[in-house]
Amino acid sequence: MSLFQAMSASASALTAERLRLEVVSENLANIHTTRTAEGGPYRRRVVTMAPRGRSGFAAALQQYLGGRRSGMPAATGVQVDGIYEDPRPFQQVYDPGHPDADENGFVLLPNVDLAEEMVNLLSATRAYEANVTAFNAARHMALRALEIGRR
Amino acid sequence: MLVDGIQWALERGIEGLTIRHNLLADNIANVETPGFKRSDVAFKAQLAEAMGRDGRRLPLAATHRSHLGRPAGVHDYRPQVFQDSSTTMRADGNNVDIDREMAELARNTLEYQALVDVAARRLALLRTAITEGRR
Repeated sequence: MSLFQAMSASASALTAERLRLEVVSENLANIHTTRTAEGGPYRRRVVTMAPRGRSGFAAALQQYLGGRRSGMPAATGVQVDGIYEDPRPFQQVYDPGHPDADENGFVLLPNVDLAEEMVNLLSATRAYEANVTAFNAARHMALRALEIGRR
Repeated sequence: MLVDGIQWALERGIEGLTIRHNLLADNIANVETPGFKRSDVAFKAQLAEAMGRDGRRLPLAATHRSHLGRPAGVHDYRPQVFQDSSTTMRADGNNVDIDREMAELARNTLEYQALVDVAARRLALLRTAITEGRR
């Protein structure tokens, strides 16, 4: 078990959090999109995360190699499980002048909530920063260990 | 001097702190994962026991199984990794407290640097002896 595993775990979280940021940005960019390729307004997208690789052959091998001493699976990080569409209903707004309004003057707008997306944006940014800190800590520790016996 | 109890304990301490850092990094990586439970390692109590019953006195240098004064625990020492599944921080079952993890991370890094520093200084002492004080 070496510090490279900690770096790998932190790096996997950086990738996952950046994807979350990208999806939040996409949701925000499409907050007024009423026409999509599938037809109808844009549906909000949600990223789900899961712990990375705690089953299967690679995990079993790593558990044997890295966890033999400590008797547990090694740190493996996080991965994006999937990007799903939010099933909540679209917002209905009365705007008879809109070209996509129905015969009663109502327009279906995407089910994107601005406040919700901003909260997700902040939480993804903070999680990203926390993982950068963890990565730098591992780097400093490894560099210090390299200095043993140097002076 | 290289194979005495202090050096052994330093190595085990650095090893334990490395395991701890891996687990803390994993906890921080999974701060947004639903249902994730944090892991940690308890090695200090085991290390203290392996070094002597109360952890205050150091064992005699023993390089063979039949040597006198060899603490029984040295070869049975194992860091215990455990998962804390008794608590829940959020509605989705995740129990990673990011403030606590970051504080533990900072403390872990400092402890690691302290142990590495001591190990390096002990080697410097040895080098002084080898070179008879000359540079």
